[in-house]
Amino acid sequence: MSDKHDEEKDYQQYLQESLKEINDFQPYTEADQTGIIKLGKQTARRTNIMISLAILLLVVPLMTLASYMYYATGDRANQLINVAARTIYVTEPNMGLEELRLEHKIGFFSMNINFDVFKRIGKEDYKVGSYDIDFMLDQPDFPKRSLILDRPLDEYPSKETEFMVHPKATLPLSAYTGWDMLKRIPDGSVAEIYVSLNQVMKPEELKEILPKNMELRWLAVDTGMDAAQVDQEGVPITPLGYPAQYDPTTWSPFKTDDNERAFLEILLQLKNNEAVATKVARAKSLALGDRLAYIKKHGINVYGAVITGPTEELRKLQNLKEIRAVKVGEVKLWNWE
Amino acid sequence: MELGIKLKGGGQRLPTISGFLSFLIALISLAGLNVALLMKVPVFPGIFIVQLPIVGFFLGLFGLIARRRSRLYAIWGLALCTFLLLFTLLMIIASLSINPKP
Repeated sequence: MSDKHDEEKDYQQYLQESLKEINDFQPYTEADQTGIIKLGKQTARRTNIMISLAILLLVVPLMTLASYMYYATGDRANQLINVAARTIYVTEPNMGLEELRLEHKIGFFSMNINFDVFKRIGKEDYKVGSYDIDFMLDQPDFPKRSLILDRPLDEYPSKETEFMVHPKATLPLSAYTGWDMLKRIPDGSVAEIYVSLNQVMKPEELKEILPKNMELRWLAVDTGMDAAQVDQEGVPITPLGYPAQYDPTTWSPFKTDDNERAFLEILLQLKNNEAVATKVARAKSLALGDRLAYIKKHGINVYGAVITGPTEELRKLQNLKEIRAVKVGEVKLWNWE
Repeated sequence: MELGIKLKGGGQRLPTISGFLSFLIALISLAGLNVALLMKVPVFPGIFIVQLPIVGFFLGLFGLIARRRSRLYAIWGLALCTFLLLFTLLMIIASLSINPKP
């Protein structure tokens, strides 16, 4: 009974103390309350603005970072660049590029690469244009080619427009005027010519039969479809081949003594990335699976070549029975010394 | 009565000054980075992606250890400055690995 009384007393005492404490508080005036509400509103507004601003400002950096990470992971960008560059080496006769000078730009989930292409005419390399390729993620758009050539290969290849033809293929009408054109080019100039052979032969055999004072630049390889000049679905194809000489250009895949092996490695790489290679090449079909299998089975045999040298020396090729036809490419002033 | 009680600890839950500064610095850095990215400048201005975020990072840390005040701004400032520094690092790594040149 006494415990209960004590409890009641403690409670009353605590209550009195609390009430006294509350009475000691100075309640806000109306002006103070308005001030607090104003301050709260301002803080809330400022917080909202700052957080919204932060989220908005994060969009561009996040997308940029995501794009860079997309292209950097798995060496994706380098692989795309490699495939594009190597497609030029094996599909464009006597054309090369300097990978060291290749420029790239990464956009939002897209990449643009552009590079200059060169041709050896006589003893000098001439810049003959540039390629500009846009990639959306890893899918390339058709390249924008700006070639400054007097006699460029046709943008849309067909049987009539190709410069090198297989021994079993019909010669286009324009091929018959090649020797005559070569005769009319003045001496003291250097030229690039495309020759078609009468029979397929080993690259070494071709090198042996050529006169000394000229340079073999590019070899068109027999891939089993070159006689028909179309793939199995009837889409026109262009020659596949490789540079015949050691290429001292930094990072060139043909900076090797064994260009044949480098060529086969490139074909294998392109086969694994055929969609990209087909977009970059002129021909809208590369049929790399079948053509690579044919080359592996039959070895590397050539049916055409690009040769450069002094014009008067090139004319001597007409005496070779192995050469079926010739087409003149670019002609430049004398630089053979 | 409620407001009266709050009088005792008036302004306790306001954000810290250092946290606010950290958040503000992060926003300025982000804005600078956005301009640089959108204008496609060849070299990013270091002040927006290194110096300012480092300052903001430490201000954010300082704001985070303050007691009995709102840490909201400090957390945002710290997170954004960390992102900016991480962004710089990852971009350097990615840029060096894409089309590397000697």
